[in-house]
Amino acid sequence: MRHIDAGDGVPDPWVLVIAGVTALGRRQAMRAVTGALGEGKNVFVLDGQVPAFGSEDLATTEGREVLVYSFGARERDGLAARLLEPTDDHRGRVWRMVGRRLGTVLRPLGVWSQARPAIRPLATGPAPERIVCCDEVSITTAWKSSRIWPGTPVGGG
Amino acid sequence: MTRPRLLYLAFFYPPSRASGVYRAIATSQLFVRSGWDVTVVTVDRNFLDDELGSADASLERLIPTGVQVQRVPFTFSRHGEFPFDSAGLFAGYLPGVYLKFAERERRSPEPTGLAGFPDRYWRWVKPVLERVGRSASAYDHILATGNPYSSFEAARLLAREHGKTYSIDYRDPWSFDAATSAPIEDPAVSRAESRIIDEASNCFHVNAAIASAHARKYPAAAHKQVVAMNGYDEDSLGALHQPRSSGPLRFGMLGTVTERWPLDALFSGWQSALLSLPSGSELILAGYLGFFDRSVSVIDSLLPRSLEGFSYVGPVAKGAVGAFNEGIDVVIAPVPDGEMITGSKIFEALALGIPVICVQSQGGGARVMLDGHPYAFGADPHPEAVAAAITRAGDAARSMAPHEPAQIRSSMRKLERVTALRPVLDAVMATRGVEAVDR
Repeated sequence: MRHIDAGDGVPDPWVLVIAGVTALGRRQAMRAVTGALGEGKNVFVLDGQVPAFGSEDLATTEGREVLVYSFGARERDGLAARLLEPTDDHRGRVWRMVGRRLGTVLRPLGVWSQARPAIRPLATGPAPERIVCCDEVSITTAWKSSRIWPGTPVGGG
Repeated sequence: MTRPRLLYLAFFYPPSRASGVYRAIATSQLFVRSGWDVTVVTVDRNFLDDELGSADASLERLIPTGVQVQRVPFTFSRHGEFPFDSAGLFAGYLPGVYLKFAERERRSPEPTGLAGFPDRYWRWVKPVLERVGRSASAYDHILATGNPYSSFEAARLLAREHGKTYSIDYRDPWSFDAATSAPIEDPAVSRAESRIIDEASNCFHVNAAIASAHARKYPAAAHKQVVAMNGYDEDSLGALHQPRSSGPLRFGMLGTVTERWPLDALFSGWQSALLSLPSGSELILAGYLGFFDRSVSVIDSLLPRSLEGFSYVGPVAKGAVGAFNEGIDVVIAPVPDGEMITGSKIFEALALGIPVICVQSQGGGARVMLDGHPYAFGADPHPEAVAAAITRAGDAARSMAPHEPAQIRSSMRKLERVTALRPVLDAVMATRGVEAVDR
């Protein structure tokens, strides 16, 4: 497992796993990575989780790569930071101020805004074999990815 | 003679460690022991692991032999339903709003009457109906436990479609606030509950306060309201306690800690009581922090970091509960306030045969249970009251005669869980009009 700063050079064949920011996303991403490695695929994980995935979370298989772009653990400012703050642990005063409902509506956009820098450089390379969307807030990122690589199957974790 | 067959809808069943799972286990055990073939329909493991983070694999050993378990998937997340191939800009950028609209579209023509069903688990009903399907006609009775109350609706719909009788078992009230006993003014809940109760054969409740409230709210169904209390599990008691007349005392609390426990009063009371206790006395808290992963950090922040004598030892596996109980001199049961709240730990506490402190306001559902126990001390959730109860219980632990723990344990046998649930079996049998195969 290797943390990277930009999404380039993912070896083919590969699977894109969008881990999202929720506990459900974390667990489904772990399962998706294990499944892809079992099929002999490399994996690129867009990781919005806090704390970020560590090597103890995601399995590795010899000869296959798990590349992780951890935008969740990066320092963020402003609205994006609030949108990506985990809600599972009841933290975040600003989050509560903005309002849970509005936040719920905008969170998928927040995830996409943070994941975009990693996805864009990959657009000219080979398409992933599939895109795995691990929670509801990952939908926009998965949908945008499906428009970059039309015809690539997209599914839940 | 053909064995009667029970279809038991229990959303939370092992490996779930949700509150009430022991009641579900005991209910299935009671029917199996009485000669029934029992099929439990419950949620799949992925939901417990992935979304709730509320599973304990060791609990699966408690599933009674002979019980058939069918696991039906459920998820709160709707990302699997999103049409990635065909979604437009609105759906793609605002998927939450899109899914909400799409769900409303789908629900309105719902032939099973699920539209607007006021329970967040409503999406579980349809998969249950599909899984059970025609096999429902092979069962003699359907029993559903809630919450979630969607199980009640699934039972109603199955019974209606296949001409069967059904009963519902409330672990918590649906249309009443358990803390205040006040009715919850939600017309959708009242409508759904009224329909379910109207068609049910029996409604079981964990205490008399809840049963009475339902009898008042639904007078035409007052005769259906039956009390079937919670209870303790024999294997959780451990060996009989040997009273000690000297040395430090160990006060123990075992259970899933929630933010509704009167923890502030308890810890402040302990601090005040320390002066009156032998040096080295301990207050030991054991159990999960909350029923779900998301609660852990919140509850952890409520525990004191440096309180003399206090320690939190984490979860105790079901098989080790007896050993934990053997090591304590006084058991403390903190219970949220409310006459409708009995909790389940109070039964185990009372049956141990050692002094018990129940921290709950006078008139609370758990305080009522203390009657008949010679060393039970009720304490309002205030530091002074808790401190006084700790001192008195400590004195009692020192002065108990060696034969008393056995005597108390014997007198509390009526609180054993399967015995306490007997009214469920009796009422279901009465509905069927037959006698149990094996009493």
